[in-house]
Amino acid sequence: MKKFFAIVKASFLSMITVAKRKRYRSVTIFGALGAMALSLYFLTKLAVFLYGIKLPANFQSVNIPAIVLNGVIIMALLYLFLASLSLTLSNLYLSSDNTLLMSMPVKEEVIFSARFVFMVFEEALFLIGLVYPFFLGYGIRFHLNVLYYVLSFVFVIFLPVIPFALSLFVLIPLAEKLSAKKLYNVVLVLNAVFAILLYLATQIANPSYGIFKFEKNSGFIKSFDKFLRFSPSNIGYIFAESFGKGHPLLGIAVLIGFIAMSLLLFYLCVLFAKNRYETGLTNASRTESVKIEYKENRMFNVLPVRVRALVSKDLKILFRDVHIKTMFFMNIAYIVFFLFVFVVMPAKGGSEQLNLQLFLMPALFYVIADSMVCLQNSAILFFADRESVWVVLMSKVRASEFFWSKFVLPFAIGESVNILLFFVSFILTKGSSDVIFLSLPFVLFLPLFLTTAGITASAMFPAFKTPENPKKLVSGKTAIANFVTELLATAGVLGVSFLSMHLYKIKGFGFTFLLAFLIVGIVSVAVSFPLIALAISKIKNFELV
Amino acid sequence: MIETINLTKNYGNLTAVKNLNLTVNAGEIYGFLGPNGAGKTTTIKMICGLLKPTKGRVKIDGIDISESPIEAKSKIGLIPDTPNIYPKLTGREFLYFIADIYDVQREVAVKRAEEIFEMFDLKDKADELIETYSHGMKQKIVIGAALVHDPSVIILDEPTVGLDPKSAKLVKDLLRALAGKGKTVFMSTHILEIAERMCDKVGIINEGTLIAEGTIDELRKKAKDETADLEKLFLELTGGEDTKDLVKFLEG
Repeated sequence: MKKFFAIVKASFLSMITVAKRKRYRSVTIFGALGAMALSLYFLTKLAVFLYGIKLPANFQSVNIPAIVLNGVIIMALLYLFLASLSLTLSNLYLSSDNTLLMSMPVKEEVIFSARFVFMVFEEALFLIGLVYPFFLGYGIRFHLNVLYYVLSFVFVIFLPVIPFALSLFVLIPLAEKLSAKKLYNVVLVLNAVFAILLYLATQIANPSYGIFKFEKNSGFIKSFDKFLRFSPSNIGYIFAESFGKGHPLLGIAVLIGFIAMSLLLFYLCVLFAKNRYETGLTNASRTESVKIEYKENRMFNVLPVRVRALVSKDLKILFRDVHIKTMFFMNIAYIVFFLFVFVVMPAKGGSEQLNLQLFLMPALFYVIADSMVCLQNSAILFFADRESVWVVLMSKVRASEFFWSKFVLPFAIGESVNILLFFVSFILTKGSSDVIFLSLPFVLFLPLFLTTAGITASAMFPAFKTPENPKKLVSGKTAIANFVTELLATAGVLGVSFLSMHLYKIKGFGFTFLLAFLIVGIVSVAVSFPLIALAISKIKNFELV
Repeated sequence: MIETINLTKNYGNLTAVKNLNLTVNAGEIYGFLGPNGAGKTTTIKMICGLLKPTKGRVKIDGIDISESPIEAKSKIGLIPDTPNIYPKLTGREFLYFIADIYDVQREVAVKRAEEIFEMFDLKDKADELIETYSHGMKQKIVIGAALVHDPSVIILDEPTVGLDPKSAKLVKDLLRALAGKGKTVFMSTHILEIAERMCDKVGIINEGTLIAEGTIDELRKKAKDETADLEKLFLELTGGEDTKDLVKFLEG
């Protein structure tokens, strides 16, 4: 047991010491606690409100507290199942200290169970902020006693055990046969695909976009209510309901049953991992060699040799590094969502009254899409150099060449996406096409501004300046700078949009288009050029400490 | 040729390198020695232009690296202590990439890459991702990459760490041959035997200050011990003799 606790303690310490400097450490911890307190407060308020919703007469049979609490637990379980695949692989198989631990006189089941318990603890912390408020809200709504609050807390703590154990029953034998690194890559891609499909499903299943209108969703609500009786999440509701109906002993019995089931599954999982976990770990540390035939990249032949070499190198890394690949393409994939929400959805109406939306929605779409593709991806491309930047800094590559090499991909993708979506919105428009044309300046100039801003932020706070934390794709300061840029771009786009709409009514299309084009063009260029100069100067003065 | 003039680097109140003056001539192998944390890697980074000196100058073949960094850097081939190179490129892709960013013609690069793969027994691994290479293989690729553009100055930080005896011998022979061709070789090492056997001149740095410099014979004369080997001289100069008591204690 001593060794078990030593491993859990080491994991815990490495979690809380995530920030290297002491003062940042306390900021991180208090920040996390503050976020949790805020989440507890607001979600509890929301829960109390939801539990008190009064339904129309024909919905009297529907149990709203059951729907809300079950819905939250189902979402938590769904998240836990999805997250457990990547979490268990990274914690149990791909942790950097595995080799050290396996070389020590510690049994594999002790390492396995300590890692498992820590994973549960880590996820339980997350659930306290997101799921526990709905138990708190239930207690407040139905005036329950302290025992209920304590026991519901215990319920939330144990919630991750069953999903983790079940996913491990699948992953342990798989890790014996396949490399955990490969499995991890597959899981990341599957998670991304699942998230996109889930989002699209919610949109497609709800063509009226009236998801919050009971009348339009009566069939769905009633069938969901019936389904909940057989859902595994119902155990959480039965536990809470027992207290609500004045049967605390039944509630305690349900909780004991749930904990016993969790512990049993945990025990079976540890037994199952015996003699298998070590094989999986050996598999994970093995590197598989694959021959890659060298191919000359002719796609960027128009670029100068050194810029071309850097861009080709980034492109290869982009397709081969799973972290970079996932983030980069996820950013592009999100555009599908925004296309649907900002372009397809408003255009569906097709009425002249939608002119305002027809213009504003695509304009906002361009800000969001270009922020994803240009801003975020510029930072991700800097991450591609995190360990090896000395190679470039030592060479004949000039700061300007390094800058343009990072500019090419996000800018080209941003412009391509904008032009494609401009035509999509134009085709879908049933109202005035003049109004859609007014968004053309954003299509052309936003990628220039957002790519230069993204590179400048990354050049000021580059990933390779903080090599002690290279897992971070985008440094905290870069993320803040990017967020501010996004806000500024949104404000700018909205300002120009409102001005254009106003002038369109008075002066007509020609004048308004010319003015919007000039304003957006001049501002973008005027802001981008100093940013380019700043970024190049920062790159020129990079120091590898 | 490498020349440092009053080279100084401060990190806050800490002086990592203090008024370092040294000259390494063409055709010479210079051994840069010092205990851990003495300022060797900081010096190397400043010589290569990866770190800006607080004070002082570095000249590579007479070119001031602060004034003309690109011209000066194009003359250097660096082999750092840890072979951190793009893990998601193959060995061949990496060498061609290096050739491109140093303006080496593709035909020349292909020829040199083949020679490097042949020389370091990496032919079978040339088209595999660098992440699958062992530490020694990565080190070999880094050494190869440093030579692709035929630099006149070669700077090595612990060059033989991670290499098998055969490859270590190869590197030593290679450095000798390069010095024979008139290249300047500046090498930091902990392996005193290598420094003693290979270097024309050694410099010993301790707490950021160059405390001794010269040929091994010159150092012996300075220490007034004609029979002393470099290890003994090194320990005497850097205060390593203090560890004798600890060794005795550990031996019981």
